[in-house]
Formats: sequence, C-alpha cells, structure tokens
Amino acid sequence: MKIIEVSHVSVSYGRVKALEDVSFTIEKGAFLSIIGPNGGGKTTLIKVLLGLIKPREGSLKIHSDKPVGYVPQFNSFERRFPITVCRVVLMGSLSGKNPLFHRYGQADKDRAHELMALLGIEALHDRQISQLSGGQMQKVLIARALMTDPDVLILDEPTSSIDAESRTEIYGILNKLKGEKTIILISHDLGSVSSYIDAIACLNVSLEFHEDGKITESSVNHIYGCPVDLIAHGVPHRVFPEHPLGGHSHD
Amino acid sequence: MINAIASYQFMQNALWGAVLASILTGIIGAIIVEKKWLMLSSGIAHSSFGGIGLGYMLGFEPIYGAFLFTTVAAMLVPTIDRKSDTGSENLTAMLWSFGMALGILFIAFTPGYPPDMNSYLFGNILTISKANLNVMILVTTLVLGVLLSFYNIWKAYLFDGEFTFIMGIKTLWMDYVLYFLIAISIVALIKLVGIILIMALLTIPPSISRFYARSFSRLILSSMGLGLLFSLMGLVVSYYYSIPSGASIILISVLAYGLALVAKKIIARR
Repeated sequence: MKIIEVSHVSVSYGRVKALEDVSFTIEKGAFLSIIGPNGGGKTTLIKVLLGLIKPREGSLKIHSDKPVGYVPQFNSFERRFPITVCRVVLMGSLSGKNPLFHRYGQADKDRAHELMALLGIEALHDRQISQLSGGQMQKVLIARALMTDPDVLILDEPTSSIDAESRTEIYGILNKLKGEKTIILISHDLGSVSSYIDAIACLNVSLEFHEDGKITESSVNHIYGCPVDLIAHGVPHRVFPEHPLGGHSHD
Repeated sequence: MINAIASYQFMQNALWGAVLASILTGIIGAIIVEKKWLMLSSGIAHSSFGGIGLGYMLGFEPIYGAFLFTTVAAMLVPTIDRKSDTGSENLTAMLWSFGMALGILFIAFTPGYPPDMNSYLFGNILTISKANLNVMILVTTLVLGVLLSFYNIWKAYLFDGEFTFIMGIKTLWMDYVLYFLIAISIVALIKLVGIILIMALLTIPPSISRFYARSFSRLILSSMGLGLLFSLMGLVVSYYYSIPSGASIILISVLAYGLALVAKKIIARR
C-alpha cells in the first residue's frame, strides 16, 4: 500500500529551480533515505512533504489522518529556551483542537515517559534542554515526533552533529520503528546511509529513485556532478558492493 | 517618601503605573527576547512617532495616532516580509525611520508652539493620569487573557514555530496576534515610560532572568519581579535626587544586569 505519492512536483525560488519534476511513491512501512549535496533541494522537498511549501506544479498525497512526525535540524528551534526535556516531549501531543486553558493529561504524561524510556532518556526528563549533548537532544526530538504515534516519520539530517555512538543508537531506534512507521531520512552524508534502508533517492534538483536501496557509482557521480570517493567505515554503513581486489581499500 | 505616596495622587498613580508596566513588560519582554524580535519591537515603538505627530497636527489625542501607526507597522512588516526578499530587519528599519520622519514632518506643520516630544521618548511616570492607568489595565488584561488561554500552544510556538505548524496549529494567526499585542502594549506604555525606557524594560529583566529561569513561566514571573524592583528603585532615586525617573530606572537596570553577569561568572567558576 502506498502511503506517500509525490507526482511531478516542481518548486522554484525566483528563477532558481529547487525541485524539478520530482515523482516518487513510498510503500507503507518503508525506510527511505534521501541523499544529495547541499543546495540540492532536500530541505525544500521536506518542506513540501510537511505542507510548509505549496509546490508550483505537481501534487502530493499522504494517506494518513495524523500529522507527520517531524525531527528537525537543531537550527530550526530555540535551543536556549528555558524548558525541560519532558515538557518538550509533551509538546508533541498538542493539536489545533486543544481546548482553552489546555493542560497535559495523565495519558499524555504516561506516553511521554514511555517514549523517553524507549529512547533511553528517561533519566534526563527534568534536565534543561540547553544542557543536553547533540545525541541526547536528537533523541528528545525523536520522542517529541513520536508523541502522536504518527504513520510517517521524517528526520532531517538526524546524525549530522552527533558522536558515532549516538549515531549507532539512533539507527538502532529507527530500525526498531521500521515496518510500523514509514520513515524518511534526509542526509547529505553518503557514509551515514545505513544498510537498514529499503530505498534510496538521490536528489539534486531532479530525483533518482532506487527501489532496491542500492545506488550505483554512476548515479552518484551524476547527482554530485563529479566522481565521489565513497568510504564506508564499518560494515553496516557500506553503500557500494565491495571493490574488486587490487583496488584501493579504504575500510 | 511614604508620606508623599500617601498624600499625593500622582505618587500613587506612579506606583500603580510601575506595577502595571512591570507586568506588561515582563510578559511581552520574555516573548520578544525568546523570539529575538527586539529590532522589530523597537521599530514598531519608534514608528508611533508618526501617529503622535499626526495627532498634534490634526488636534486629536496623540496616543490614538500612536495606536494607528504601531498597529499598521506591526501588520505591514510580516506581510511585506513574506512577499519580498527584503528581510524583516530592513523593513523594520525602514518603517522605523519612515514613522519618525512623518512625525517630525507633522509637527513642523502643527501651528503654534511645537509640542514636547521628549516626554514620548523618555516618558514621565510622575504625570500618569487615571485614564492612562485604565488603558494599562485594559491592555494588561487582554495580553494576560490571550497568553493564558492558549499557554501551552504559545510556548510550543515560541520554542519551535515550524513544528507547531505541522501539528495543525495556525501559527500564521499567532504571528499576527503577537504583533498586535506587542503594538498595543507599546502604545499603552509610551505615556508611562517612553519609547527608550520601554526597550530597556522589555529587554533587561528577561536578559537577567534567562541566567537562572528554568521554565518559560518562571522567566515571565522573574522578569515582572525584576521590572518592578528596578522601577521602584528608580522612582526612589528619582524622588530623592530630583533626577528624571526614566533615566534612573534604565541606569539601575543596566547596573543590575552587569552585577548579575559578574555573579553568574563567579558562580560558574566555583
């Protein structure tokens, strides 16, 4: 069953084309990674999927009655805001239908604690968010996005500014959610594309979709405009098949 | 001084004015410091000069003119900002200087002696009338009502507006409501404390409170408390040394910020 259908979407800023004729569909429960260079339109595509930008041409359908769970980059919110971890997670349960003088109910609080436990941040529930490390902050944002139990989860560069250990943990968490949720992970870093994913889309204004989750060297070169040397540290992150013997070995 | 408060109506009004101004600047200040809308608020405040000048020229209450100009400026900046790539900072600066230029132009056209514009820049808390206080009470009640009735949503909006929008909340409306509340708060405060002191009261108490506040509500409450403390100390100094109250309140606030900063560094080092 398709959960997301994007057909012939184009977006431009003035004369600059950010997205051109982008079409793809995502199966329910799939784990898709979108990769591409900076300025390639990844953020624009997310904004279209989230309804923040209306495309000039084309259409978008998300077959879900719940809002998309969104894990933004760190620069999109106020990191120094005086608030505790638990309160940030609770914000994920807000909606336009909240009554006047709304207060979080016990069910919301239980759900928040359940999610913080799932992500291993329950001990931090009373901590100010300004005191968190990058990896901890990322888990808080994932917990917040999961509050409404969304069908679709979109993560914008979730592993860009965190340490390797947190990175592995976050991929582990996403792997647990896979199947139950449709996950879209945006990355500019080819090396972080893990072996968990079902499909990869390469985006550089236009989009190339790889259903089997494998990308070829020629398509990467096409997307990035020049040959890219891919170094896969550790087996789970391998992008290409093993190089033939006698070649350069970077692992 | 206690005797003076008991026997002079103007001293009582000044006291109530300080209390109301602290409540209002505590709330609005915490919001604009978090949103980093200081430039915008300052621009809105200064654009009121055009309205004040218009009032003098046409012979109606200048504060109504101020209300008109600040509200229009507050609505124009975000609207033009979304439709052009000029940037809200540039638009704000443009409206700021445009409002003040109009004010000066209108005053030049006003027959007779030019009015004293200084009182709108620095205000005079000792000349507050009952009517001023009533306007303050009205605006403070409105701001408190709007904030408290959607408190959780306001907090989410201030923390992460984009996420709040995705949750299905109409954040564009919240933008406009907030701009409007800032505009009317500034107008209500102009007569009391003046444009310059408004900026000081909006920024200094929240900046100090951020050093230790652990929640947004505590940030607001602490800003209110500090605003009141500085205003009262300023009034006392102004009363005993016969110096302008606006200046003494600002000087005390800045001094307190400096002390708080040093104290924070010392505590952090230990």
